[in-house]
Amino acid sequence: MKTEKFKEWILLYSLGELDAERTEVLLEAIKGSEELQKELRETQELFSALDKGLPEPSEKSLSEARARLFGEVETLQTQDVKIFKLPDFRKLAIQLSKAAAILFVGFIAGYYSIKTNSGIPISLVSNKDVTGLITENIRMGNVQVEKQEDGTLLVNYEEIVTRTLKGTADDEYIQKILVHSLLNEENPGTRLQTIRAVGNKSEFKGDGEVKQALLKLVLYDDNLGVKLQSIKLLNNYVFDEEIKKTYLTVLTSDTSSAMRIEAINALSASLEKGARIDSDIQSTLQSSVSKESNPYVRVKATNLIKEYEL
Amino acid sequence: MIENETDLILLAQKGNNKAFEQLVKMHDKKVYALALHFTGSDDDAKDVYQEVFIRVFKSLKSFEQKSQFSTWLHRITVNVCLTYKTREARHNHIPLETEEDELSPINTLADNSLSPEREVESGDIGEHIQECIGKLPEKQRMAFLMKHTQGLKFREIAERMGCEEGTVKRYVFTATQKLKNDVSLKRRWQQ
Repeated sequence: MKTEKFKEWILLYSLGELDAERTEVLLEAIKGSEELQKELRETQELFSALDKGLPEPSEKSLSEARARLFGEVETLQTQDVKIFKLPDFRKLAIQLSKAAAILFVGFIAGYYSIKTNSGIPISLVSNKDVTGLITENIRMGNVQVEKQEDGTLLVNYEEIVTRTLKGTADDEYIQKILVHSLLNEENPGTRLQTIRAVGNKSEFKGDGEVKQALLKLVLYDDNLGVKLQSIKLLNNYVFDEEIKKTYLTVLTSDTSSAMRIEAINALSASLEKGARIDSDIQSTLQSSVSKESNPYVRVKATNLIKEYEL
Repeated sequence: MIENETDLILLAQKGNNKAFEQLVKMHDKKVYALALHFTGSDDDAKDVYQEVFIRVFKSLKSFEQKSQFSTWLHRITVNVCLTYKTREARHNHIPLETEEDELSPINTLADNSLSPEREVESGDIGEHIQECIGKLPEKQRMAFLMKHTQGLKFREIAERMGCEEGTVKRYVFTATQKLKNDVSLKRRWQQ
């Protein structure tokens, strides 16, 4: 067999890819050939040098790469939340059909109960305290009719009031609804929509209930998108002790690097606008320099310390 | 902590961040190592790493587990490495070698060793090898590194690189010959 073929086999043998039968033939050939012995020696020397020569990734580099990746992933997820997904129209159609059927049955039962018991009043919620009221619609739902032994009917139903209001985000009643939406709506999309609506305000008062709700969302909401939008919106309010504490709490305790990035950016923007630097801010920034895992936050904290000579 | 990879993939597909992070941590050392050896630079390796896992994150929902996750991940890594270097080469106006060029006998025998001056400056064989690997054509380099540093079979490399097993063998054989020539030349200079 040609020497060139054996040289190829030597490589396969060194890489563990030569089968037993050909290995036996090769080893016999090597015994009687100085050229093949040299080839084997050089191949093994090369692989040995490779083992020693190729750098191993350091834990530090790997940690930095991970921090950057996970920060980016969080940002991508936030963007996903912002984009409202189109509903599955087939499922939606089925759900709408079911809802229509229930409403129809409810309507018939309700109509029947009212018609046969015209003496029972429908209680209406007084709307005299609601400012800016444009329309008010009342629907009935969950109607339950039970025929009693004496021939009368017992009727249970729920009134669902749909109100449309118009006003500014500073109007007292609208603020109450906004706060309710921010703190109680289960759907994060609705909460985000409300935050955006608040964000369109032309001016921000420092003591509103909405601000208090935003502070709570920043610290306690379970949806990162809501938290991020809330902290961004806080930057539009006048920087005060409550906002400062919230930023610093996020910087020291929030597990999301995206949130910590927003917090340090917001803090930096407030300092640029002339916010006073106190010992809390100073110690938090110093702690970020030494303990922060995200390189962006660390560098930003270092730069702020240098810039403001802390 | 969930240990099962299949469960982690299913959770990550549903948007569970922790599961995705755990999945990344199970595999990212190999991805980083391959990127580092392929690019020869920590900064480039970080870029490749980022691009690989962002692609994984974006397309994870469409991963049906018909193949091993590691195989799928490796395939993405290979693609990102090859594209990454292609972009850099274009940027620097370096003409690219085609697959045929990489396998041509003339190219196989071409002396891609360092200049004698550079040889004398560099006393370390390890550094020298790293530099020589960086000079190999991309596909040869990728096949060689996957074989040597990741311990994959030729068949597995072919699957990940999307080419024939025979082609992978030739890539690895040619790359080894070139490196052997370089190392022996280096040793001769040192003696």
